[in-house]
Amino acid sequence: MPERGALVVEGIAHSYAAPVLDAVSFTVPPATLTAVVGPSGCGKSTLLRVLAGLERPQRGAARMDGVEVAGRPGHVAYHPQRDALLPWLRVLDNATLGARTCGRDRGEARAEALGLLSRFGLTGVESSWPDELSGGMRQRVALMRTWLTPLPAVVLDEPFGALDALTRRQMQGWLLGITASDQRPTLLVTHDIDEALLLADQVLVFSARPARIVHVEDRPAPDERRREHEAGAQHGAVLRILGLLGG
Amino acid sequence: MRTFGKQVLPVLVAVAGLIVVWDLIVRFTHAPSYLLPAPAQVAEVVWNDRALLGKHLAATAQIALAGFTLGVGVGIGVGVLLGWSATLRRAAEPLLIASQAIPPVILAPILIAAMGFGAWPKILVVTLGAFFPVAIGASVAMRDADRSLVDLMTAMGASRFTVLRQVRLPGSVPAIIAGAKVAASYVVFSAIIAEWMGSSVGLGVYLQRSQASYQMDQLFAAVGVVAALGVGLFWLSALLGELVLARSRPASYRKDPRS
Ligand SMILES: Nc1ncnc2c1ncn2[C@@H]1O[C@H](COP(=O)(O)OP(=O)(O)OP(=O)(O)O)[C@@H](O)[C@H]1O
Ligand SMILES: [Mg+2]
Repeated sequence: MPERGALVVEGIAHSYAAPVLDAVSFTVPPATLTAVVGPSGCGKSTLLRVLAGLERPQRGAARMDGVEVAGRPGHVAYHPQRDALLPWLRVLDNATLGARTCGRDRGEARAEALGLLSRFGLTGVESSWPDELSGGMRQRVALMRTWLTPLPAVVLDEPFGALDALTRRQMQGWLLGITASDQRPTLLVTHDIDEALLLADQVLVFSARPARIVHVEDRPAPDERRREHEAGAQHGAVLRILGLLGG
Repeated sequence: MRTFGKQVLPVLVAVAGLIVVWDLIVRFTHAPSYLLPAPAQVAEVVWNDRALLGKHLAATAQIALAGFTLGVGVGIGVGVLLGWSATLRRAAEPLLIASQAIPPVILAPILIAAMGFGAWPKILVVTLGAFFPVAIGASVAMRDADRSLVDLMTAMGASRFTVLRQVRLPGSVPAIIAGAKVAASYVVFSAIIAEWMGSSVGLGVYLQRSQASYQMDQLFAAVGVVAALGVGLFWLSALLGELVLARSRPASYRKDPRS
């Protein structure tokens, strides 16, 4: 896979009726994951919608290899907070929707999706309809769809929210392992501070609305994070972030 | 056997009940048969006239079916266009509504004068009535497509046409089917009116002749056949709709355990 650039966000500000994002700036280097945590309703999903091109920011810019992406669709693989599966497509067609929409060959995309099924715990349901799946399975189909969408950056809005503890751990393990080899910069919104500390190379802590970055927690390398996580040694960081969110 | 018990039996009981009530009314009011013929008398006419009624029925069914098919097709096309462009919808909606204000009794003779006594003017009268509920249902459903699905496709960089094909159109299938069922309940009526206004064959012609000669029993016989045709067409469209729905799997599709 070719080396890809960083996702650079510069001073993005956005309002609906009231201000939601207040000049947010950060950089996600290639092959790394940046997590965003913050109070509910602070503007995390709004930031992702701006990056996905669904909202035009009032100020600021976001660039991917020098290409403006904020407010311009078609540059970022977007995983919405709701799974947004198309009810009239079977699992495999949903999983390859992004790939096909971005012009990849249908047969190739399906072959790749079939190869991922067991990783995603979806073996045997490839020809089911979405309404036959559990909430957690739907979310994994959606995650697969996002992953197979061949756009140069990935933004994920609480992709593990509906998963049970065990599946969640498996999917976290998969994401932790794939971030470095996938090369794309990944932005992950989550409510789960432990998850952010495990998966992210950098954790952005947002303030309440209008969101500003109040803290950037730099994290060690993936192996070190995994060890910390298993030993339950993230306490210091968790308490620090909780303190920032509470205050 | 279970479908028979659950679906067909109630209908048979209802129809039988209606016939019994009708028969009792005739017996107790001693209504003269030139005003209200008894069920048995009407049944006899149907039987004796079966060859003639069959010929007329076939002609009417053909007009109704052709007009229905064309109407649903045109309705989907118009609905897609109106769902595609808000400007187009604003421009065309008054015209569509106006098209429904033209009574078939006015339209049929004009079309027949222009196109002759063939099947086409009658089919067009039926089409005009049938396309409307489909077009309106489809255009509203296309416009109100699930926002989160549209956003998803947009974020992927999908063109408006791709969004239409992948999200808006499949999401409109239930509305199109509902519109087609409404249309199916109109088409026999419009076909009869069109035949009445000028034709040599069809149940409309049979009805008109029976009425002109005050043959109440024939009139009732024809009305019975017309009603059966209407119900048959409606059932056919409902059945086709179920098949399409089962295949296209919209969000709202769940097998209703009561039906
Ligand atoms: N389309 C909209 N129109 C008006 N206000 C909106 C719209 N979308 C979001 N908001 C408001 O913007 C604010 C931020 O919403 P957003 O969905 O980004 O929050 P969030 O941080 O993702 O919250 P959560 O963690 O609960 O998902 C909220 O106060 C919300 O009410
Ligand atoms: Mg959110």
